[in-house]
Amino acid sequence: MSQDELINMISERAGISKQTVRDIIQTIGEVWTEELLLAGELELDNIGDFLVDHRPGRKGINTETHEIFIIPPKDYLLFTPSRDLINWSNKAQ
Amino acid sequence: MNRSDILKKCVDRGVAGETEVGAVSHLFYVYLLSALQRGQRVEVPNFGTFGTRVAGVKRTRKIPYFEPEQELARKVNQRFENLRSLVTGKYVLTPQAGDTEYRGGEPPYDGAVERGKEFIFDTSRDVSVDEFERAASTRTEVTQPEEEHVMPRLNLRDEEEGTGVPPIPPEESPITPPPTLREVGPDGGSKAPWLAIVVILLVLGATVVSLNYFHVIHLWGKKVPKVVEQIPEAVPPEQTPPLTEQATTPPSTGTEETPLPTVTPGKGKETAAQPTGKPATKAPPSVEAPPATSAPSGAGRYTVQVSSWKSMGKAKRLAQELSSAGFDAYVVDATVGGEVWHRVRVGRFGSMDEARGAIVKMQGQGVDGVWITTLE
Repeated sequence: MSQDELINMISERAGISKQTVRDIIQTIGEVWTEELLLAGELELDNIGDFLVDHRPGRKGINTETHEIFIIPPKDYLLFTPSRDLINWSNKAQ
Repeated sequence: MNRSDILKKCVDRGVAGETEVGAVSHLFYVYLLSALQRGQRVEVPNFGTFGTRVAGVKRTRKIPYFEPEQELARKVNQRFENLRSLVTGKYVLTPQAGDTEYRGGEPPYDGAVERGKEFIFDTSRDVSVDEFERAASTRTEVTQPEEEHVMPRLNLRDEEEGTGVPPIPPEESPITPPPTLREVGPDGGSKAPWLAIVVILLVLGATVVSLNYFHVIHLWGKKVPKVVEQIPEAVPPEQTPPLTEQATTPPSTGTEETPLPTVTPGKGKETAAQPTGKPATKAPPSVEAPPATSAPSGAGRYTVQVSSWKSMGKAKRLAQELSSAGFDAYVVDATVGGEVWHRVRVGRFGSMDEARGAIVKMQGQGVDGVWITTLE
């Protein structure tokens, strides 16, 4: 489902203009992002938990070129779906 | 973060009213769940994409996942954004001893198949078996000649008479027995001498240990002293002088003499011997009184007997020690039961009191186990 399809469906169902729905959804995404970057974690009800995790640097070897290099550390986003979301996804239609 | 907090922040930003924001957020959540249930992806602007992937052994379980937007991932990794992989060196494969390296030449695979390309077997091609059948029909069976077995001659009578066929020399068996320990040469049996030396050392060690255990030899451990049995001289009861009843220190039974009293002249450091053995139970034979060979020429009737020895040397040695200690010691021979005993005695006293005084003096010098006896 693309972004436009989602906006159209919500607009038709709620009777709100598409632009308003688009603004509201973008604002929701911005709020989530800000909360995640500030607190380092975000818990959404019935969706799951988001966590900024850290992966330390390590040593790697390119087996084709036989080069030894250092992979830099990295912060990445870890998502753990909630139990309700998993059960709902596997629920028969 | 609660749902109400999110709605409150969205309303505070002035996007729309609280009712509109609440309705949109609720529908967004409903469509998100329905899309994930259908296996679709849902894009959230400025945040990321939700989706599901199939997992599990049976590949029937769906696990929701989230892919952050590129901008969000960059913001999350803002601390290490500019870091890149750094090449520090090159891994060199050093061939080890025994490794075989392909150095060109004839390739080990079919030359018709190009390297790096996938080789597909043409299973649709018709394969005829005529060629194989033709080869099978024209094949001539080559029969190998049977081995001739010659039975040995068992008629020994013909061999003795010389009329029979001479015996067949035994053929060498193809199976050669393994070489024994002595037959192994210096090249093949380098361990044989060491093995023999080890076996010999083990046998010698076991022998020494067993001999030491049974006290045949003494190399370690507690030394067991040799037990020397001395038969005390038996004195017949009728030969016992009646005055011995008045002696200050008579022998325990009165029928024997103390064989080895302790003699410690001076400070009592020297120990001549200790009385050992049990009293003789057999009937004492007749005693013949020998003449006093080295008795002093005093006129006393009483004397003090110290001990009695079978060995003349020991008796003389003890008498010499007593003499050096200041006593008038002498040795008198007596025959008891056909054996000659050498009695060590001290002095001749005219009365019992003098003899007792001598005994007290001897006890002060460390000479114990003596008694008074009369001279015949």
